[in-house]
Amino acid sequence: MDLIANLSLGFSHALEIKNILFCFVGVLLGTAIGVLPGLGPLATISMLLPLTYALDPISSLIMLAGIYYGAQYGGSTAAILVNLPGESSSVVTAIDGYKMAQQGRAGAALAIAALASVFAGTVSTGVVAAFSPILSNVASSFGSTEYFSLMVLGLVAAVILAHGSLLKAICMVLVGLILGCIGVDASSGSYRFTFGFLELSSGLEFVALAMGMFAFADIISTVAEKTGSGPAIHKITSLWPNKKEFDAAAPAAVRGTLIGSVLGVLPGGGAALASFAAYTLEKRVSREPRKFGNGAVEGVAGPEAANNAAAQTSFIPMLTLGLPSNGVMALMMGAMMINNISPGPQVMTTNPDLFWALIASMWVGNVLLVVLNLPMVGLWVKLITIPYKVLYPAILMFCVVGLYSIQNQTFEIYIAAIFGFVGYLLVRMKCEPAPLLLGFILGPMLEENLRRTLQLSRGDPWIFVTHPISAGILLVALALLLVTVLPQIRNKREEVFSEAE
Amino acid sequence: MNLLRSPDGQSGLFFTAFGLIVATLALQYPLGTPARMGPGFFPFWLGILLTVTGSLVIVQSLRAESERIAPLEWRSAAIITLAIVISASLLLTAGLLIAIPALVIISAFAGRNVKILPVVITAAVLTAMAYAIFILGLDLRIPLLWGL
Repeated sequence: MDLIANLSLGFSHALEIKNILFCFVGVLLGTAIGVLPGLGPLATISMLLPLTYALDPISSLIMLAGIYYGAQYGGSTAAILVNLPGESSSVVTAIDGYKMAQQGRAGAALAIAALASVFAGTVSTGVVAAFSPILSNVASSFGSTEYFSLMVLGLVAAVILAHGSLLKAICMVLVGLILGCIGVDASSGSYRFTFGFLELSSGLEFVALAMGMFAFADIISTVAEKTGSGPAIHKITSLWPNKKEFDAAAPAAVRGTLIGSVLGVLPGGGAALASFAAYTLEKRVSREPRKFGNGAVEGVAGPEAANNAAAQTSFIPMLTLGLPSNGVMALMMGAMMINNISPGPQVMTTNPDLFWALIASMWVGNVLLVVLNLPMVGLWVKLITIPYKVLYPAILMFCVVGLYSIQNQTFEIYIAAIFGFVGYLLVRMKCEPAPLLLGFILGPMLEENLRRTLQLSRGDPWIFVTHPISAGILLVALALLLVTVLPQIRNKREEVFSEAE
Repeated sequence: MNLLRSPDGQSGLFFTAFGLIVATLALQYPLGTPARMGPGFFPFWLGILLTVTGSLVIVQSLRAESERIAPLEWRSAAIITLAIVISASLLLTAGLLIAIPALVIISAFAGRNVKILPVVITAAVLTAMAYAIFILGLDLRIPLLWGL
């Protein structure tokens, strides 16, 4: 079996001491920032991106991935114990998890969340391993025409995934594409939008853009309000769920895993959407829907399994097609490109060790998370009491020195400061930064593939519709857009996100 | 006026203006033909698309009932941005041991109820951390104090 051989290749890398260490650091950091309400995976991963210049690609990707799914764990801990979801994906967990904590079942809720997550993590790692090669094989026959359409699909997905107005998200993608044009034009060698800055000739630094938009802008918009007093924390008594709770949780975890795995792969899907969908499903299949909202075990197990499964399967489109399905995946793609690996179907053949090591590390990371979380839950909870006053200067410090370290120059710091300010203005105008970042990453590739295709077709744009695969992809993109625009479904989507917020 | 007070209106104006500027700037580069795209081709059409979409956002904001935009956090925005810029300019001239305390102390004034002593302690601890992690640990080449 190829799969077994591939997985053992992956595990041989993932189980190297060095990589276990990086995986551990990743999930540790991830759990910590998941618990901390002031800091999300986007800001943390941007903060650590400069490190990827120094580390080898396998270790750095393993660590960054660990942060992402570690954050799903940490988020649920805070949601259950203090009703303060650290991540948007654990908002649903807070509904019944916090009720359980109030009823003295905090330990059981935590254990169920952790066990459901590790179950989902294991299954969805298998899903990633099984489906990625198939998709990657299909995609490796793609030419520039198909690639262009695929990237359009990716951008449409980014637009749909954004909260709020569709038009504004489209604008943000376009701004990102425009920012991607900065620097020396690949085909003609002329300087575009560099305004005389030599530092801009190789393009706008991705890390500076990400840190500005995610870390700095976030600090600016929240620093004034985050001075409230600490929350009340519920005591953890017995850590183990009783048999009745376990029996109710097990099928819910299985359903959650299924729904999460599917929603994670879909462009525009993601952990937050998956956990909400799983909660709705549990409520619908339950014989006593009235239990929900009053400490239903299924309401913890289902969403927790779903958000973890979705966090893992959202790697599939990124790894196989080079399409990031959310902001974190865009950052992961950025990290790969920093290491001169261009994401896409060829990754599996050109860097099989990286590909399979990343997948294997997800499983390793899930095991580490359970070991890390259940016995040390008391320690994590203490983290919540760290005041934001101390936290944000620390974030600023890491960002400033990190930005300097990229090229040993201060230019990137100024760039990030500008984008921090602009990013804050954009957030205030209710424009989400993630689509902009996706546009920025895909921009140069989009232009290159457009150029090649139009060169082949002698300037005829109909080539995108006459090539069957390309036409099919564009049709999917169109369908996704229509589904979102249709008012009835649109209302429902806003409902989903307003509850997930 | 509705247009200037709602998030949609403001962002629509911003996107439209940005699109127009980009499209105009792109005209200084050769556009080429679709079959042989010049360096100005892609950015020019992106600018046009952004202008069109931005205007649609404006139209949308005029039709929908208005939602007031959150007040601008001028203080936070100015202080945080200033702290970053000042520490960047100090990093190579005065050194890490000046730049990091400056960053922490200036940025502290963005919060509410600033007390001097905790801020000084935070600055000292974070500077020590920066030294331990970036100089001792990662061996970065940053001047410590006036070129030392």
